[in-house]
Amino acid sequence: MHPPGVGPAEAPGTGTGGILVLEPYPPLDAAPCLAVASVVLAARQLGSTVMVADLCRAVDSTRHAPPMVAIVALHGPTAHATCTPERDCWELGARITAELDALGVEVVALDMGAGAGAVAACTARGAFGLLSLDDLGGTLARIAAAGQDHPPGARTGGVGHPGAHHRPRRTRLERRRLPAPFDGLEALTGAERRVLQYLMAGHSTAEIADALVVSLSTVRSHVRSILRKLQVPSQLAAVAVATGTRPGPEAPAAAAGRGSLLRRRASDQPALATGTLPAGAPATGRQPAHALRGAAGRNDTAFSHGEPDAPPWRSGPGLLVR
Amino acid sequence: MSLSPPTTGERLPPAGGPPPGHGADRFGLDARRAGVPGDGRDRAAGRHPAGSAAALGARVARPETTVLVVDAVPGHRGAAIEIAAVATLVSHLGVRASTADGRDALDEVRRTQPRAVVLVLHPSPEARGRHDLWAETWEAPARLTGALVQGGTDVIALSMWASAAALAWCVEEGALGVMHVDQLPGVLGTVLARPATRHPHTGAHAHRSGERAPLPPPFHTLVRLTASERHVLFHMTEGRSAAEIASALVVSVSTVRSHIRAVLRKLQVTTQLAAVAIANGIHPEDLAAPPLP
Repeated sequence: MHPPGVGPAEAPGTGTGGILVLEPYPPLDAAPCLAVASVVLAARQLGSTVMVADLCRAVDSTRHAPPMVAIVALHGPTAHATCTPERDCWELGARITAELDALGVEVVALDMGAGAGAVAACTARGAFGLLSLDDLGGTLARIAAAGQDHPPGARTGGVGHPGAHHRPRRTRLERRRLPAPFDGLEALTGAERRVLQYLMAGHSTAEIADALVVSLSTVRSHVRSILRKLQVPSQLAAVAVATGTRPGPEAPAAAAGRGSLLRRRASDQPALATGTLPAGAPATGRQPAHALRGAAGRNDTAFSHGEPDAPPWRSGPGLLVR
Repeated sequence: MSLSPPTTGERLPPAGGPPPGHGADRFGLDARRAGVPGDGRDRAAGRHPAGSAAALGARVARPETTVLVVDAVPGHRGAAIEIAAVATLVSHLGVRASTADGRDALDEVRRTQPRAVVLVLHPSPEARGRHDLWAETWEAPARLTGALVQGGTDVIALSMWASAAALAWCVEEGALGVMHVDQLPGVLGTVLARPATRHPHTGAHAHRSGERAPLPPPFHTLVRLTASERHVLFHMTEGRSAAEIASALVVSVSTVRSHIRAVLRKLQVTTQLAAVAIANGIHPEDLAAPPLP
């Protein structure tokens, strides 16, 4: 009757180490979207301090109370928030991910229906990618565990953030990569991402050329490079990859129980299937979020903490794949 | 305007106009909103959904009213949190809410006799690329809707970014379709404001077929597809070519092509891309025309 974890708000904490849930279609209206509310409920079940902001105010919010993690709840446009340039969650997500990343805040891009393309836009800039809310608990536990391995004060990056000196050092190697089609999605340029969004909305190349005020041949060349990067034969297949309904060439359907989160480095691939569920949990089927509580440490073997001193440029998009 | 006490112990939105942040109240989020000075100002701009919580609270706050929130795609993904969030939203409207799994929904409806069922459709990552699961994600909600409506229960099918096609087929079976959760309070208010007329002999709510509301265009066109066309459309959303679909469905390529033509004609579009966008629930105008940076 009374859903767990939906009690009255607890006293606001200090904010440090809390979770900031980000609404992708700013400005945050009076009513946070239910997708955002779902994430808030899930995060509260994990016993965290939870704050809500929209993407435009994400960086401001961290000044007041530096969170440990920011979760971008990537849902589709709502009834009164369509995808205008100011509200483009692909581009905003990518930009805010980069900004928060620079401030030492870990970003988790969670697919709540916006599709794989929106997630990839964020993971390309250093976010963790998550395809299901179920995996949130384990991911947050791992991020927290990694934070403890790097005690406060160890941070070396001299970013001009008021709370930066409190932040645990970023552990870049914890970055995850999503399944194979995401390699291609992450590699897309801004213009290609924009064209792909138009294809997802069902527009033809001629209509895209009109809308973007570029020549038809430019759009065609973007489409060609999208198909090449995604390794798909048709625009229809490219849209399916961006929506998340088509498995990639290296991720056959046989890998159904596959984890939703994969490692960023190709050499760590064997760890991918173990990284998402608590030990002993079935690979498929219902996985209530509370079952993931306290999962920290159980899956530590799925992580490597190597290369803690990787220079900042190592997290750039150029490093992503291969 | 007085409200009955909330049955769930949750706060009801105050009557008499939405104060700033009233929507956040329904999730108890206001106290946790990131404290950016002045961030309440633009929220007073009046962009509240038509059926705002405060307006609805006055209409539907009857303690005896029960709504059952059902996970329409059980077993594939633990959508427990989304279901709980919908139930919380409903209970903040002053309506008693309980939750059930799609597999137990019929038993639960018989047992508790809810005033309405909110069927929550959500995407299922596990079903991606698995033809064998398509029926469950696309057809199971429609089947369940049909069974519930036959039993005389009002069904509100709510898409939490699931495919619009799956939602349309629930509407075809007699559900009220809600494409965005923002519209749920308004639709729920409409349903609950109606008199609960029960069948004199069976005790079931009378089926009101005349009150079906179509989905907004262009998604209303999804209801007219045959079973084969639905199959083909499903494969199209997964990016398959006509030849691939033909081998998956074990029919000839020309049969598939004729199904595709029929789908395009019925959806009133000229390209498969546009058909897939409609099936995915993406309105062409969801994307305004941004200039390239």
